[in-house]
Amino acid sequence: MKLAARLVTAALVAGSAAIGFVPVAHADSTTNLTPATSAWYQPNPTCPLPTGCLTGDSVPAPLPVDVPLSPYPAGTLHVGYTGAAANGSSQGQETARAYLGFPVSSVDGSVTAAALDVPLDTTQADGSLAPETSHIQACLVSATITSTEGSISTPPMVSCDAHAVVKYVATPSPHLHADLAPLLAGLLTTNGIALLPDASSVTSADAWQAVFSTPGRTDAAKTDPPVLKLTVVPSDVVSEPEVPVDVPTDVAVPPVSQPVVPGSVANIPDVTAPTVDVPAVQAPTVQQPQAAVTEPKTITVGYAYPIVWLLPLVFLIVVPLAVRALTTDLTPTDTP
Amino acid sequence: MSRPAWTRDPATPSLALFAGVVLTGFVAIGLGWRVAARTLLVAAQVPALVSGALGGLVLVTLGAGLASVQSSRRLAATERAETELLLDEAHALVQAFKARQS
Repeated sequence: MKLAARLVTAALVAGSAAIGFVPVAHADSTTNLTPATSAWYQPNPTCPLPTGCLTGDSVPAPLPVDVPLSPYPAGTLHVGYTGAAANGSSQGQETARAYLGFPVSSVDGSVTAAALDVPLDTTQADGSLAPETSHIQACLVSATITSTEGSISTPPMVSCDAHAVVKYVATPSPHLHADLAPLLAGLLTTNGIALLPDASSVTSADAWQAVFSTPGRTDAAKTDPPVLKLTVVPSDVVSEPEVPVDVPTDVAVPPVSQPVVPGSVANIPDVTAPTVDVPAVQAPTVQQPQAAVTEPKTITVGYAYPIVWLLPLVFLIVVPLAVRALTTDLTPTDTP
Repeated sequence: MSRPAWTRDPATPSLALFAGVVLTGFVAIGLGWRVAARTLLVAAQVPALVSGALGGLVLVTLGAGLASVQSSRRLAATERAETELLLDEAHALVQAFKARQS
């Protein structure tokens, strides 16, 4: 009988101690974001000319508008590359790059995982060309993204020192997928994500173009917009916001990240443009700004309060003490 | 230098232990409130309330209950000891009365 009582007591003690190994509530949440702004750019077609690149300040008067040059349906975004000509007359070059501005400022906490899914529009009439052979990389954007389609203006600066490989996935529907783990450090402080040809992977035989939709696309060929999936953990609930609420997030962007060219078409609102005759003049010299360095960010993962791992020891001490206390003879030794 | 009488009471250590459990419960409730009040993020408030408030409430209830049980046991033990003492006194009185009659 006494042995049975001891076994029951040992089982209770072990069970109580095991309670300490139950993980403390640790709230992981998944946040899906769609682009608030989106844009795609193509190379300036005047650059190969003997006169050099023609920009806004190379004409006598500034262009009144940002000339839309997209030959594709409205609401489409493009990333493309064309290889060198067979006769070697031209080198391979990027034909389009896309920018996606996500409202990451609304995310409160630390991002432990992130992925980008981009459903593809594979209609050839929309510009799609062998997207399964694409070699695309995702980079952080350090400059403000302005919505535009097919602009030949200088695109916003990107920082590809850390980049994620974007892969083509055929099933269940064609889409691009990227694990953004290499970009986690700067994901919450960036202005967006740029999708552009991966110069380290493209070959001279490449000729492809991936097409996808903006959230605002309305035609029949519309596909779902790109989705940024974030796994967010409140890094430390006692931490203060990293950026004061009344301070615009743009202050973190170095001033060199946004090239400011007087009269540049990049600074003009994007509206429907009239035909503009542009006289050929000497190409201006535009100094390329240096790539902005994204501020590193420490991400805390694991238990918010690791001291919970001492709970089993506490149970191992307190429970036997309680059991012993409740079975001890409490007769006073000095009863009057 | 002799120890105070209350420290020689066999119930004192256990009552101190249970009082510590109750105190820990109040501290857990306070920490849960502190964490939950410093953020507007519900996903952070829920774990704080579960681990802090509910856990603290359990500790307070458990500690108070065990302390109550222990106090009852101590009172019963004291009553039993006093009853035995009374019986001893009565027995001694009977023995003295018998000796006086003989």
